[in-house]
Amino acid sequence: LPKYGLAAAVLLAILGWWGVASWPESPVPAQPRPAYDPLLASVMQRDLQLARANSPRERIEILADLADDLRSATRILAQASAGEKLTALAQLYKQVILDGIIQQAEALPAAERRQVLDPIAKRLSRADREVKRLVERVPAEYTPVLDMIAAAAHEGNRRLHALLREERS
Amino acid sequence: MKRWLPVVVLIALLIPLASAESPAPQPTAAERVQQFQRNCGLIQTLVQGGLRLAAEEDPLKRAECCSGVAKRLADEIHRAAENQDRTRIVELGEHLNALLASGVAANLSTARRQIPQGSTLEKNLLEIRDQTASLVLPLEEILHRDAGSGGEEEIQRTLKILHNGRAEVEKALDLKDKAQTQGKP
Repeated sequence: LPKYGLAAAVLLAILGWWGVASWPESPVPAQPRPAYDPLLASVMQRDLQLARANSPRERIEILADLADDLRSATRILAQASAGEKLTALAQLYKQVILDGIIQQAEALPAAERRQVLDPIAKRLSRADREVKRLVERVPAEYTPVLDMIAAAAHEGNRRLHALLREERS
Repeated sequence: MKRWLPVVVLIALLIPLASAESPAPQPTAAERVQQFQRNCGLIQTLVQGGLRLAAEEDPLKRAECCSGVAKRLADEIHRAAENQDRTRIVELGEHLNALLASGVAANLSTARRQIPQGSTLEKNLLEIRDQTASLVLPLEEILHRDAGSGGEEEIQRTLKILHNGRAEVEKALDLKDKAQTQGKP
């Protein structure tokens, strides 16, 4: 056994020496890759996931992630005063909640509803609260944008609870 | 052997750290605002496309939807090439490649297995495949020309991944290849 240990150590020493020897003496700084748009990348990723999703459950979860991406981007952009185009982002958030999540929730088999919809309803409720708190920290011109997001989250949560009540009765 | 074990473990842990690439840079708040101003329309197209994909069960229609989004991305890459905005070409090229492979080709392939050969729906399949491939070909030509003039490695790489993405779409309907790769008779 000690022979194997010694052999391993020698091998590692050789590899280490080779690694150090091949290390450039004065490394040429690599051209820094420009930062890509994280919102574009995440929305793209959600589209690819939706293109492969096979069940309403999967789709609801992806759509909830997409809604979170949009809300989180709106928060960052509102704090950075991104301008009037932010309204478009809030409208997309509303569409994802009301035309996406709710539509898929209605298609969900009754037996799966509680398990799938409860966590999504909680996420929407948290989103509603967080956005309302954020209103104090962004320029006043963005209040309507944040109000639209909070209202969509609130409405989504209300409709999911209605579906859950239907399932109970 | 036991006394060498910590050394081996330590080195095994350090190797990936030493060879790891630095994480992708994050844009500053000001850069994010600029990116949003520029990409707002594209983001709208992608979200609307996502909603359509969520509402659609039929792989043929999903492929069609992904092809529509791919068209929008291809138009943006065209514009970026006109403006010689190489960073944008590379960024959008990566997105377009992912959409071609995981969106268009994957759904065409699923639809191919469901649609009988010689049916009317098969015509639609072929149309979507050809339309999508024809979006990418002119881009490849432009990038080939640009890469030739500037010779930049990034553009060469984008050209290669777009070529691969188009190839994925083109072979998506080939049942024989699929069966062979899946080990079927």
